[in-house]
Amino acid sequence: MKKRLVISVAQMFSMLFISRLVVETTYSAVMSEGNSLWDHILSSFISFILVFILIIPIYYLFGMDESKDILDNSYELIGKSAHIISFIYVVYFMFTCVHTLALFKIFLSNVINPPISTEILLTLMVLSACYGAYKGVEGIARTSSIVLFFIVGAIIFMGISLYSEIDTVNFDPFLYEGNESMFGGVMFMISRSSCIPALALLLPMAKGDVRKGAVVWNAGVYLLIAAVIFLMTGAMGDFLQTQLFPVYAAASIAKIGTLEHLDALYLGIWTMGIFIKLALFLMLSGECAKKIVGEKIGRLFVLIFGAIVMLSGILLDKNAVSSGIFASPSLLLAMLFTGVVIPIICIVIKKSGMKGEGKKSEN
Amino acid sequence: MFKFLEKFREIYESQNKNGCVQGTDKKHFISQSLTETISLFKQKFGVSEDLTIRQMRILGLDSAIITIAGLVNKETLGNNFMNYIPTITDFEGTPIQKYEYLRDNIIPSCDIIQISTYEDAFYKAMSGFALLALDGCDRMIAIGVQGYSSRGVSEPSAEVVQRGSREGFVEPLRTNMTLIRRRMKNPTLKFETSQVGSISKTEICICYMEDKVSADILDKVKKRLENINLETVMAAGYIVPYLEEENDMSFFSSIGMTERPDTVCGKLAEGRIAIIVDGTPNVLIVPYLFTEYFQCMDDYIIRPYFASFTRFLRYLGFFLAILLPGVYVGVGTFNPELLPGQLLNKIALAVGTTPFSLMFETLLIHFFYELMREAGLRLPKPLGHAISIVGGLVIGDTAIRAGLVGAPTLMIVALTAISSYVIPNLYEPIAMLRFIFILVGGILGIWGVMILFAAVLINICAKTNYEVPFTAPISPFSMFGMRDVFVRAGWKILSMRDSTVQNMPGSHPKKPKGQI
Repeated sequence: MKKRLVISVAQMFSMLFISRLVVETTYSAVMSEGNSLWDHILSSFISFILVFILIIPIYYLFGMDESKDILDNSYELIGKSAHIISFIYVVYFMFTCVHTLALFKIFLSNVINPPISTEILLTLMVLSACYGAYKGVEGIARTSSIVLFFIVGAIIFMGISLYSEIDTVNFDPFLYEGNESMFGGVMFMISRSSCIPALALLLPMAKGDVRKGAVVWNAGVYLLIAAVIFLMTGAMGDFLQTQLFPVYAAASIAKIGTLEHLDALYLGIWTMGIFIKLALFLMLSGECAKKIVGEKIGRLFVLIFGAIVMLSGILLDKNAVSSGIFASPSLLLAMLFTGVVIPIICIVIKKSGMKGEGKKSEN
Repeated sequence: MFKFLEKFREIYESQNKNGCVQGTDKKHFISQSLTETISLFKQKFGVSEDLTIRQMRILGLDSAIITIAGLVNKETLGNNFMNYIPTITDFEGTPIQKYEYLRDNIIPSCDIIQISTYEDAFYKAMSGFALLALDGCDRMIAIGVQGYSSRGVSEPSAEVVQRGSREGFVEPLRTNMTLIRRRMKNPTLKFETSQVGSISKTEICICYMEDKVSADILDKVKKRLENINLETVMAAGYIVPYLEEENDMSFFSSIGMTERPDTVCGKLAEGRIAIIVDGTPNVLIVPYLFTEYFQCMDDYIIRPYFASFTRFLRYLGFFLAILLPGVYVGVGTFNPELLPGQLLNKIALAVGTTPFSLMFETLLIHFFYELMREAGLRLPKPLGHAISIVGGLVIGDTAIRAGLVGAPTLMIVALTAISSYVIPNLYEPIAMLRFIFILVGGILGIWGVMILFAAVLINICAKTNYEVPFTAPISPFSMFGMRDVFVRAGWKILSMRDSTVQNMPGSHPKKPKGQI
């Protein structure tokens, strides 16, 4: 089978970088149930290493045949029974979309509380994301490169503006209040690494050095997170512990010259990031659906999935985002199953199949 | 040349014998009887006054010169044929031999074509050729004596430059071809003509550099042009939808349009294809990239640092023109805390004294502005100035004094209007998107504006025409390609490497021979 090289490695990791960033800039001591966000710098370093370990099965499977994604491999190994695998991925990607949308809803209702109906905003967001997903991976990838430029620029700008607000008194020694917060942070970061299962589908579409790309992507994400935590803690100190969205809170106190209230900047980049993430994961859901129902109808499923995500996002209680199925353990299990366990099963079956074939040819 | 025509005729006739008909139109071969030919012309043109048939005897044969009044230059016709008639010595032979004698020995014009069907005869006559028909011959000679009046080559009004050529395209296709050829004295520059429009039979010309163009793109362009099923083609814009991808729902067009021959030549050297449509001074360029909307001929003439500055102004102008009113309405209505205190006070004061909401006020002024623009555009110039004065006084002064609109809103609209004129080729999408952004900003605030902006961005980014990404080289990114995007590098850098469109990042079409 010919490799479907439709996007570059840089574009693929731009999409994934944004997808990680929109979730990771919502880290807070409140959400991760820890006490000290400062300890999350350590969490980010641990997560950085863990992500490398967790992506090994996907990369190994990809290395066995670079033209096939996880679903192609599944269909090759178990035939039509692989519809179940496709369905599992559809559920996981939609689950991620609902989680992201719920996060957006909390942000709107708890932090901003705009005098606009959040339902209408969520509907507009999902409709736009459906349009993006319908346009395909190339469109999303190209958009994400541009959005990434804006996001990185805005973060650097906020960083420069917050730098003057840093007070060294706000920096406590690491693990001053125990290691609970650090582990909480690791759990929080890893469980929300929905990009790992996404990689399983995206890798065959990318042209270039995927290994080097992964290193840059992972290092970039966690360096940025560590830098943001450093800036926020230095600028806000204990005030940070009470904030649900500390990056937003930090942005609202940042100023450069006559420019005040850089929260507008945060609002802009975060909304764009959410859009990219929703579009990407809805597109991936559509790709999985194509495997089950065929190429032609599969594309329409993006709209159906969009409607489901939208309804779920609207109906979901705003407090549900960090509890129940959205609690870190549930998210972690789902991520591990789709991002690690399924690839390992595929590798094992494939290896045993190859051995069997080898024995047959020997006989 | 004549051997080629003979061969062509033979092939054509053999096709006809085998029952093959070119295209869907059945061809009618010219009769040997001159009387029949003349009566057919008279029958087809009916009461039309412009058909001129001059009957005479040449070489002992009844003959006729058929022209359409106003389309031929009588002086040229005289110099190229009529003046030679008295000098023709008698020649013995069959009518066909006499026809060949006339063709090969008497008519001095370079531009002569042998016609064998009535369809071609009608088309040539209506294109300004003089048709020479001889009794007993089943063919005619079309002599190129076109001489219809047309606008002279002048400065293009829509693409004025400070320095550089003042020549712009005009309506006649041949003149436009000459304007290009004069600048590209290279045999690899090819012109291929064909017709579009089942009724208008408009002549179009595909123009490209053989060693630069991608064969894939050229084939696609030709196929798309063949599939045009219009009855009439009166302007280049008619065929634009046929050259774009199917189901293209984008606000932005990936088909460029220019009135400047130097711009076309620059694009041809980058592997693009130009399509000249007879009767219009606008030449189409395919494929066209988003970043090219921000380039202008002056950029390549002035110093790079200033060209880069003007590029920056154009990009800024684009974003201001699209987003500023929407963001202003969104922030002013829902997130006033994002504005600096003093500015907020002034806006609040203005909004407090006007009867309308910020969104309605902005929409209203924009609507008035568009009305004035449209009126000024269609009216004769002196009246257009009057419109500007009335509009400026009524809206600019009276409306504020009357307390109908706020001064900050008016200033925003004015700034937006000026910004949109920085990139005139993008005025249409900008004007529409601006209205949509104002509406969304007024209903959903800055959130809605951002979401809509993301959707517009993906609409632009997902666009691919002729397998070349519309947003290249920004995304997919190419560092070398960026030398002529946000900044304009010096000529030494610009000319360092091949810059054909098929070499843009993310492009898939095949490269021409000799290119890696």
